[in-house]
Amino acid sequence: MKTEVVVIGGGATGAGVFRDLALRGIDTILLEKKEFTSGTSGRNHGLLHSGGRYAVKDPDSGRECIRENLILRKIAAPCIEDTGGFFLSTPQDPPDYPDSFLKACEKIGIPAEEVPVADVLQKEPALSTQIMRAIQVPDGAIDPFRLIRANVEEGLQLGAKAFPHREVVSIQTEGGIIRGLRAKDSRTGEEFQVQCRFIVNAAGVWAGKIARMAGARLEVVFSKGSLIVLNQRLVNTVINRCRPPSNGDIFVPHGPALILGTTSLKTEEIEDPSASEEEVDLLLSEGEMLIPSAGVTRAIRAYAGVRPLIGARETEGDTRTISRDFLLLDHGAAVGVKGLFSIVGGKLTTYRLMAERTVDTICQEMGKHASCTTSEKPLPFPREYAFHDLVSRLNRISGSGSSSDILCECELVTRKEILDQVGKLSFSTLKEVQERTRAGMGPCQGGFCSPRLAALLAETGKIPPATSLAVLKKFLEERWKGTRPVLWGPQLKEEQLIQALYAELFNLDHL
Amino acid sequence: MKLETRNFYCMFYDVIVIGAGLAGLMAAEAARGKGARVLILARGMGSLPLTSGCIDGLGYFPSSSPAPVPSPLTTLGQFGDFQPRHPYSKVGKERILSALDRFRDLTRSGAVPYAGRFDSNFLIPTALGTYHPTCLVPETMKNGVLSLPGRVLLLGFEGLKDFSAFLAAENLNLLQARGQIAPSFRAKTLANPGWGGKALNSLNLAEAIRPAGSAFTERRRETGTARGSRIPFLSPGLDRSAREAGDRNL
Repeated sequence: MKTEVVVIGGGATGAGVFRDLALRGIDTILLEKKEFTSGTSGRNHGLLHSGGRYAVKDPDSGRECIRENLILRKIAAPCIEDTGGFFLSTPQDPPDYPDSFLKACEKIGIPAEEVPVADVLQKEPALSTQIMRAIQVPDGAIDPFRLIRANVEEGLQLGAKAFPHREVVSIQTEGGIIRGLRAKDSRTGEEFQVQCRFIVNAAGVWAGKIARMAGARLEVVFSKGSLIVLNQRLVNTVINRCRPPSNGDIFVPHGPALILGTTSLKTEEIEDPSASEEEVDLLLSEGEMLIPSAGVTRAIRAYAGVRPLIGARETEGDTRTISRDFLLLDHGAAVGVKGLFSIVGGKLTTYRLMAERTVDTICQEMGKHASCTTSEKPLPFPREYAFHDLVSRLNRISGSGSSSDILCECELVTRKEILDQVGKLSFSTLKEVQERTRAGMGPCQGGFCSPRLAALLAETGKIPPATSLAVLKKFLEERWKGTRPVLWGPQLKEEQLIQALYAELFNLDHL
Repeated sequence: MKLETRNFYCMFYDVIVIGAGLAGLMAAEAARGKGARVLILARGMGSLPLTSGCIDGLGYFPSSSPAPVPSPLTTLGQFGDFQPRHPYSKVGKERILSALDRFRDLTRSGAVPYAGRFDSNFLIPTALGTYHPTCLVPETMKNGVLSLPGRVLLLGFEGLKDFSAFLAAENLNLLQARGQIAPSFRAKTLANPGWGGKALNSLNLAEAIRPAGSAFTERRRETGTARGSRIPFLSPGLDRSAREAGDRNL
């Protein structure tokens, strides 16, 4: 294969760069070692930041967030829920913080407005009555899976190529200039060569490794953040704690669920991060300060993502003081690997800006005059797409066909919807079905529907022959990682049933 | 004494059993058999309707062992050495055997006869196309065990979402290729005839295809205790002769 630019990494950054390159008419190929959105981009709050969180300590990030927040509302409206957000001050928080917060927001242009606590409690009755002050900001919920897929799909529509399951194994340079790379199909082991002039290293937590392959250096600090999914939308607004960023101080309502996070721990485990029981306890005890019923609400899953941060190691344990700003590094200027650009750090909210800056730099390098259009041009989304809302789903489903058509009872997903989503793909995975339809994301976490989904994929030839059991086992192992840290109360009961089903009845432990 | 009237809180029993799982039900039946007046108290149905309906003896020993135990009875002594506090070790071999005899008598008198003994394991197929070692199976299932060679047609029903004949056959054939089970499988899915607007689950399906006047289903109707199971398992009604008939007809 031959192309102008290879983009490495199918997260938000890579997908954004891929789309931007394609829109500017530059020939490009996107390579992702696992599945799109399988790294940090798919393991976060799904929060469209207003920038408030960074306003005080990291105003550059805050400024970028609010600018991009407004742009994403225009170009990615179908995957954003405009929940609005509150920053709430509790008696445990520094009493002068709300004032510095308001001042900092004003300075960088974040529309933040103090509102009466009584009004907030009326709108969100689940909140603690201990709250002292409340500030309203334009936060929102954003679906990273749909966002990233829309970016990739637009690139594909424009004739660019994108490949999941292709891991870069080596990078070739000649006289300090990028010549190409070798990648491996992680499912078949088959290697192939791509010739190119430029490489965009958007590999996130693996960016340091990619840079080293080209003989360049890039220091990435890994910061693990864990989150819990609560099975009830206790609030309809994004809830932030009004204090310097710390653990368990953000709730984001997502579809029928509520996501509480995060933690921030230095880690070396980047391949397979998971939330620990200690982190779950910490998140819930902090979360209860804002929403007292959070601790007794059914938690259905905990997960973790690793933030790739750039910067000096200011502290040993907590990585929160490192800037959440991004870095675009031209390795040609830095260490003499011409044609290699690393784009690391940043936020999901600022992914588009990161892509714009990267592609601007590449255009300059190529001597090409093509301006960026991604801040104006809406992303392509399927016509019928709306945020997952159980009530309207139930209305739509009831009266049409029998309950046999509903493959996921928790999230009310029908067989037809799944076939509509994966029918045109040449192959698919359980994870992809989940992300596209929310099947398996409810209280039983796919415990009951995953065999049905595996059967559907096998029957329609979306997974290779004779692999359905392996696919299902892999799914269950991944599922167990998420349910294990939150096993108490009703979730524990359900888990014992699932355990009896798979380990005893289906005997999967022995087969 | 005329205390036992409806809506009256004071009742007299010799034995009260708390819990309606298999242990509770067997204990209640044993006490009743000795002439006691028995009351079973339970919160809801319990998980019994969610089980396979087979009685497992001892599937694997040690539990990590890849191969199933051929005879639970023979392995019991060794098992007791490792698990002295397990209920099996506490009650002993004789009592296990007599309890299983009692269970078999009871189910036979309830028109759901069971086949099998504690001294050998059956390998039965599961809805996922895996196998499960078990001791006692309903007699209707005994010809479906995986030690009997042959070609088996698995029938699926369009809309029966917890059983994919395709998936089960695919996985069972993998096990056959590895030499772990004897028969080979192929799959066929029957078109959905509508089932009178009822949801298609294993219970409604069993009701729909049962032979008229079957003692088993009639009894279930009378007692009104049968419930649909969310746990899928192969329809026990399809024994080998039915499969062969299916093979000829399709």
